[in-house]
Formats: sequence, structure tokens, C-alpha cells
Amino acid sequence: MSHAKKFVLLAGAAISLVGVNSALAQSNDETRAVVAEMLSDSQNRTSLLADAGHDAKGFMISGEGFTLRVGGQIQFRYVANFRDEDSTSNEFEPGFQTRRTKLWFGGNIVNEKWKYFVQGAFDRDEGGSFGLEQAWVSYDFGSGFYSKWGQYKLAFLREENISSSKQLAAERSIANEFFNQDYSQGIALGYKADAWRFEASFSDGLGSRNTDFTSSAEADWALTGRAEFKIDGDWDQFDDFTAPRGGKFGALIGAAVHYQDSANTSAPTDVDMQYLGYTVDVSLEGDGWNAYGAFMGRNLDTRGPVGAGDADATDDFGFVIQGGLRVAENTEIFARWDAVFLDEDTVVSGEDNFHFLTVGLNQYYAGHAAKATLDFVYSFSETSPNFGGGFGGLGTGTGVLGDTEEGEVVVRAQFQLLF
Amino acid sequence: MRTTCALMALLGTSGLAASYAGAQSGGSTDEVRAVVSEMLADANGRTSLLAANAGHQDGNFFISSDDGAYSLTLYGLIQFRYLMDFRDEDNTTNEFEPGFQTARTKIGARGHIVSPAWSYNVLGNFSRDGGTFSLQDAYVEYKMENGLRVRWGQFKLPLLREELVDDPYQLAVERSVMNSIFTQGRSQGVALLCMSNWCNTGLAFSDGLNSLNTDFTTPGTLGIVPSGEADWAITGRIEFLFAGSKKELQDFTSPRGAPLGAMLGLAGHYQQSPNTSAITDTDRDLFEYTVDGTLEGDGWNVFGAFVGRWDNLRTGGTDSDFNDFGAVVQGGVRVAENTELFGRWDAVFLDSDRGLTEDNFHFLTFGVNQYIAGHAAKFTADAVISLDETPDLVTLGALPNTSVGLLGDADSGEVVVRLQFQLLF
Repeated sequence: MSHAKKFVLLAGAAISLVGVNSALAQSNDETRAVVAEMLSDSQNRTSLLADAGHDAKGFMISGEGFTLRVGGQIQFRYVANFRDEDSTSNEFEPGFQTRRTKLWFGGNIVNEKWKYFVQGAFDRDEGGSFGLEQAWVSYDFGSGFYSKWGQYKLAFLREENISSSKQLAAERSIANEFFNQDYSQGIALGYKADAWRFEASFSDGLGSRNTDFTSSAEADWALTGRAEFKIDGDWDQFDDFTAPRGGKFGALIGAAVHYQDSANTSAPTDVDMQYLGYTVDVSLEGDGWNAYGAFMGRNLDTRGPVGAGDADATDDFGFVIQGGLRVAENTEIFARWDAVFLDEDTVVSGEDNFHFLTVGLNQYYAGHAAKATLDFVYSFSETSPNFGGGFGGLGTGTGVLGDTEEGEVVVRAQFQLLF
Repeated sequence: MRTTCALMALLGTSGLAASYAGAQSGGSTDEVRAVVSEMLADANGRTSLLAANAGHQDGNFFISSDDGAYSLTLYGLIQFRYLMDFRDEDNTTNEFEPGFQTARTKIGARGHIVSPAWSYNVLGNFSRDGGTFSLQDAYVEYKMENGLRVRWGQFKLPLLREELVDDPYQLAVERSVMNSIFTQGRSQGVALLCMSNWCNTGLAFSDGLNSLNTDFTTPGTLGIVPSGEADWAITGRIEFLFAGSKKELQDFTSPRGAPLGAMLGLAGHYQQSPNTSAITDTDRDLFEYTVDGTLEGDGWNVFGAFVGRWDNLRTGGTDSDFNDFGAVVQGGVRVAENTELFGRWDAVFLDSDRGLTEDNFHFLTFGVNQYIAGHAAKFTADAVISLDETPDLVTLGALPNTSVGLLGDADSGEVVVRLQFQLLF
């Protein structure tokens, strides 16, 4: 206990002591009155002190109106990648990976209306450096309205908006990695009611985390909006994909759109780009089962450099369908199909449709806080060179590295701990 | 607890005063007692709401749940140094290189969730050059009912004892030069650990020596200090405790009045690099082994280790084998309760097939520790002398090593003086 707390307590008791001595010289009734007054005073003093411990949301320290929460995530993975032996690259690539190691601090100041959140992650490569992921402040206006500003995930693809710690498989789908919004810098206005909610953002565009305002990776401006309609269930049960045995039925429909305009300079070498993204998704879950499906697409319109002419806009699409079933109280099997369909104008030759199948198993030791996952990803398509390096979506994050032949297989064994 | 006692004392005093006052005014003693009981009950309730779940214990700050099922301990290390490196004036490089250094600045979080059986540890360090905060340890451990522990994540493989003794618990300012060449560093893997009164064992499957913060596709390097990822690696270590406990032997020092401690350690490590069919590819197999002995008693300590490494490199039809060796012997004695003198000799014997001008490298270190609050607040001053010319170690990439402080010298006699203050919180 801190010296300050001791001081406050001792001071309170000392004041009480003086009061008791004089009061008892009167009568017992008066004594009781003084004691009651003293207890009331003590109540006030106690409320000024800090509390600390662990509750349903994790480790916390709080004082009146102020809360600091501390937590973290360790996702450690063994990955074994198998590719065709005719590949120029290594046909067998195994190894451990500190996939995600995160620390976060959050809470509220002054009162519950002012909230803050700061989260950083250690890179799985490049020296394990610690980088900022989220840093935002929010204010609750009441009546369901709130605002949030800082660096955060835009409300766009539901799969990306669900925390990495609460996914169904070891990793999000490749379709998600291709179309996802990642973290952005911006400001959002949201509303939440019993049956529906929305969030709209003005931002620097997709994937604009840790960028200065002059960065070429930033859009000049971007608008994003997402609405969700809850047909049945509670909002909390849609924070993840899984559904425990005995869980009640829940159904959610979401739709989102995003538009961004790149920086537009008069330099002849400049390439301007307008990006329109859109998605619809459905989540269903019940007594030990869950299903999720999403369609996503984007329209890319680029112009420049001078002399290159005005290229046709391209349209790319993606799908993901996944489902899980609890075969025991804490054991879940799951499967996922996801696909990316690139515009035929984007791909000069070769494959433009890419299909992936994921199957696996979750073992929940303490919910998501201690969870083991084993899964396999199979690529039905030739992913190199048309998918991967040039278009993103593949890499060590998913474990799918790209293969000139179909049939690349990735085995991922992961343990996750949240504290 | 102390606060509760203070409250009890004050309230007790209040009770006595109340009794006396009650008697004077003709009030009932029972009623006064009831009032006091009420006050005590209230005080007890308030005390339990206070920071019983947070505070400072065993040298660290912590937060825990009411039932102890969840805990979070925050800890850190600050090692701040002043170094002066003296080299021969005939060198083309600077013959006098002084300066301050934030050698280690670490912040970590460890604890357990659900029950003490599920523990975790995350530790980061700010680089002494550039100040980047990067991951060092990130692992989860599960302790089975039979005492066996399974650990997975990023951690130090059970190999060289000098490396396994944590940074703040070293005898000198820094580990030996020999250790810096043969070290396991940190790796990503899974380990099975067993600890008993007389024996500690560790068996690990990993990505190989010095593979911290590597992705599973990161290629291995071919230097004298291997890094990057092997395709696979296996490490095993066994320690026999003849006297003392593991806790006493977790550092190298031994305070006055401490009982005898004796430990013998044996360890081996094998790793194989990725093996592709590309003709330009260099495949590397590596086997490292060590034996070490630790003795400590009433204000004195001795440690010695021998390390060997077989290094096989194959490329384009060329097959090269190298056998390199290292040794370290060190000892310390308390000349006062909190003042310790120490000395160390360490050496590296590289294979003559490496074609170096100098194959053998010897180093002497001597210094003094002043324990102000054990390892938590410790001042160390020492000097390292290189008895040999070290340009070959520069060529091999082992020097310069700003952590050790030796930068490499074309002549023998390079000296580095190191002054360090360490604080643990």
C-alpha cells in the first residue's frame, strides 16, 4: 500500500479518534451519531483511493473516474510450408514464428465517457521492433452516439474488424488479407442501438498506419461507412466467430463501403488512383455452431503517368465462407473456403482466380485466453507469379508463400495466450 | 497488512478511550463494545477493498486477482555504462574511444492466467544504438502436476550456462568474449523442462542458435556467430546439483554466510540449415557442446566452462569442417559484506583450417562489484585486456562488440575499462 493511502487512512482514523473521545462523554446515542458521521466520512475517503486487480476485462488500476487497463497477447506458431519441388524456391519451409506479441493500455479518464486505447506489437521479423498499432481516444455523447479519433481499424471488412485473438482459424483468410483495411488514421462517428449500429470515418485511407501526413502511402482523403443489423442475439456474441455449446442463436447482417482518392499532383510521373471498396457479410451462430460468409469487391481507377493513357478501371472480387462446430465442450472443428477473383485486365496471362481451403481444430483451454489451433491451408490454384508479390495477400502472415504449381499446403500449429 | 495493523491499533485506542469515556458518563460497556466492533468491521471491509491485489513483492510490482488465479508483474532493468577503449596508437582506427552507453534498458511483463499453471513472460529491450524497442522473450509455459514444464515461444535455449545466467546476475559488467562467440542467444521453439532438488534438465526443439525475431522463412547466416533460422535444431542440457539450490545458483555471486553450492552442467546442440537443391546454396550442420562447473560458498564463487563446436559447411562440392573451442574460468571473493573482487580468463581457440593469422585469443578481466541493494542496485567497475591481436576476430564478425567493449586491435594489449550502474525494478 502506498504511503499516500496510509496517510489518508491514518488521518481519517485519527480524526475519528478525537471525535469519538469527545462524543462518548455525552451519551451513547450521540456516540452512535458521531460514529455514523465518521463512517460516512470514511466512505468518502475510501472512494478517493485506488483499486487494483483483475476483472472480466483483465488487469486494472482505478481511481474515481479513472481506469488504466493493461493487457497483452502472445500468438506463437509453428509453420510448415510445402510447395512443388519444381519451384525455384525452397519446397519445404518450416519454422517457428512469434506471429503476434502485443501489449496494450486502455481505460477511461475523468469519467466513463472519455476512453483511450494504445496498443503496440512486436514485429515477427525485422528485429522484433515494437510498433504502434492503435492509439485512439473516444467520447460517448450519450443516446448511443460516440466519436473516436486517432489510429484504429476502419469499420469495413468484418473479418478484419474481429480481433486477431478471436478468429476461427489460426489466421484470417487470404481474401481478407487482399482486401483488408488494416489500421488507418482518422476520425469516426458512430451510433449503437439495440438492433442496429453504424460507424462512419473520415481518414487517410486503407493501410495508413504510422504514416505522416506527407506520406505517399496516404490517400488525400477517404470515407468509410459500415452498418450492421442484428436480427437476433446480443452484440457481445458477435465480437468473435465461435459459439460455445449452449450459446443462444444470433444473426447479424453487415454492409460497408469505402472510397478514397490518392494524392493528385501535377507531376507528369504521378499516378492518381481512386479506390472504391464494398462488402456485405452475414454471421450466424447458435448452440455450438457458427457460420460466416462475406462478399467483397473493389474498383480501382488509375490515371497516369502522362503519356500512359487512361487505363480501364479494374474490378476485383473476393469471397469467404467459413463455419465451425463444437464437437466437445471446448473442442471445435472448422472449415473455410475463400477465393479472390482478379480482373482479367489486371492479369496479363495465366491464372486470375485463386481458391483456398482451410480446415482445422480449436482447443479452448480458457476461452480465447488460452487456445490451441491446428489448421491446414490448401491452395487450389497456381499463385505465383500472378498472386503474391505483385498483388499482396500472400506472405509469412498467412504462411502461404506462393507456388508456380497448384497444391501448396501450409500446416499451422498455434498457441495463443491473452493476459 | 501493516495498514491493517495501524488501523487496528488506532481503533483499539479509540475503543479504550470510548470505554473510559462511556464509564465516566454512565453508559453501558456492552454498547461501547458494539460500537467498536462495528467500526472494526467497517475498517476491515475497507481495507480489503484497497490495494491488497497490487503492490511490491519479491522485488517486483504486481497486480493480481482476488483469488490469485491471475497475476501481472511488471519489471525492468537499467544498465548504464561508461566505457573507455584503448588501442595501439599505430592503428588506423581511433586509439582512444570513450563514451556512455545505455547497455540494457528492459521492460517486461510476466505472470499467470487462469491458474499458476499457465504462465507467460514478455520482455523487450531498447537498443543501445538507435533506441528501438524490440522483443527479447515472449513465451508461455504450462506446468504439469508432476512438475514438468512445457515452454513455447521465444527464449534462451538450455545450452551455455554463462548465457543462461540472466544479464543482471553476471559477475563482471558483461559476459565473456568466448560466450559472445559460442552463445545460443535467443531462439524460437518449444522446450520441456524438469527441475528437481538434485537435477535440472531441458530439452528443446527450435529454429536454432540466435534465431530471435526471425520469420519462418528467414535464411540462416554462415558467420562464426550463426543467426537466422535453421530448418530444425535440438538442444539438451542436464545439471546436477551436488549442493545448494537452483535459486542460490541463479547468479554467479555468493554473499558472506551463504551455504556451499555446487553444480555440474552438460549440454549439447545440433542444428541443420535449410537444404535446397540450388548449386549456389551452402548447407550448414552445426554441433555444439559444453561442460561447466559452478562452486560457491561463504563469500566466494568459482565458475568454469569448456565449449566446443563442430561446424560443417557444404557448397558446390566443397565440404569444410571446422572445430572451434572456447573456455572460461572466473572467480570472485567478498572482501567486505557488499564488496566483491573478481577475475576472469577466457579464451577462444579457432580451427587452424580457417586460415587465420591468429587462431588463439585470450582475454583477462578483473574488477570490483559494490552491491548497494543486492543485484537491484549494483555498481561494477572492471577492465578487460586482450592478450592477442584480434583483427581475425574482426574479419570473422566477432568484433567489434560494443556490448563487451572490445573493438578489435591489430596489436595485442587492447584494454577496455567499464563502469556500470545497474538498477532492477
